[in-house]
Amino acid sequence: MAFLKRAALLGHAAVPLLLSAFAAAQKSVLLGCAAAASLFLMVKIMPVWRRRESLGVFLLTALAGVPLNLYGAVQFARFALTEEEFFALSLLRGAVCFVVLLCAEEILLGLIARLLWRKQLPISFE
Amino acid sequence: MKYPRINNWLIFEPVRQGSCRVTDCLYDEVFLLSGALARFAKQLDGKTDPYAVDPRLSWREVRSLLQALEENDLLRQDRILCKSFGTICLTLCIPRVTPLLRAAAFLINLLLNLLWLPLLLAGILLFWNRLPPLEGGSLVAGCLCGLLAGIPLHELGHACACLAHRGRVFELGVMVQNFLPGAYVLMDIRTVKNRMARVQIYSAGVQMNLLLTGILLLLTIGVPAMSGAFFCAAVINAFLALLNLTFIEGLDGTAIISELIGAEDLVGSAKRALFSRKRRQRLMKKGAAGGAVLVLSALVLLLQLALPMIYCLNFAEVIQWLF
Repeated sequence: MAFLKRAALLGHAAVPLLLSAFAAAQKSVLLGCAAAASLFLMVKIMPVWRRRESLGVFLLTALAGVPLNLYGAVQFARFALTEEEFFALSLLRGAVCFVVLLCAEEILLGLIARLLWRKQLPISFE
Repeated sequence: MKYPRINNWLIFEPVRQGSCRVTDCLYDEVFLLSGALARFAKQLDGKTDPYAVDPRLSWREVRSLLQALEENDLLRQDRILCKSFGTICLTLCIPRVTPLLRAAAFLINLLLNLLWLPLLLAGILLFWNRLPPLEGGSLVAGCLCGLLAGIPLHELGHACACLAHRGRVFELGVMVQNFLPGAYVLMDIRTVKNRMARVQIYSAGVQMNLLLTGILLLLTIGVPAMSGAFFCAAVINAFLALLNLTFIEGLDGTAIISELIGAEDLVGSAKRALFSRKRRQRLMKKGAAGGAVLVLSALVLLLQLALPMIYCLNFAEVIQWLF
């Protein structure tokens, strides 16, 4: 039973992650939206996120957004790179771009999660 | 400020006969003052001579009232809010909140909410379709003007949103923090009960910068003689908006995400959760939910690395531009 619970926990995070990876590989906006939709579906059906849906969306976004954000960061770093520049500078630009994309996605999906699930428990760090 | 002034971030509430509860919204403290002291304090607006406030009071009585207020750090003598090494905050405006001001703020906030996204999208789409030559105007002047317009308007966005949602705005000012110039607005949104309203107040600054980005991109196309300057100003404002969205402590992004996920003082709580073994063990005992909070804490603290990365990037860009 404990093994099944752990498998469900890991498995439900894999669905949006795989869709996001597929979206990055195919450069498809539609698949990206499907990844976001699957993320909300996973949070809805998993009992661990009941009354904590915003927390679930936050964590799953951070995980599932990695392939798409990585793709965006690499594209931006390539776009901004010129011949005279150090490679380290372009790496730094890509890293900052990754962080900015992640934060913007977290806020956007967090907003949608709050609109969908208004009554949630406050997050306790105790 | 010709005369001493009572701190403008204090809220006075009469409690019982002869007493007044004072809430210090800057330092989050509550204390009691005598009714007479509170009545005297409320009249110190910086423009009135304290010795002329109440003719019935003798010079000695006024002196002792002023001393009592000074001992409790309730008076300010000048426009400097705070001062330390590398940091200084200067008050520019202490608004008198009237119904007309609230109505104006409501209108500005409404227009901001309605126009920021359409103007931003219109600016980006039209710019991308036309790709005008960026030759006109000084690029450095464009960057400076973008900063000079973007930073104060960012704070004005927060102030208007706060007033529109019936929060309190105490003052607006400029500051130098860690040797970097900026602006600030001192406000209290504890009276704003609606979570989405609080989110909108925190995001109003970013909305204002994105609105400016859209307008400046449209001006880049519309005014070819200054296209370079307008484009630089647009990029600066877009950078300000995106920087503020990151989850660096003290920036708007952290406040927005704290409200959305329902955690108070997200970065502080994350530090306490991760760096205290007892709390870690208590959270692990809660199972998956507790584990999720630990992962959240780790993620939030990892994202604080964005600040040194951005500093390094800016430093490297400046060095590269110079050489």
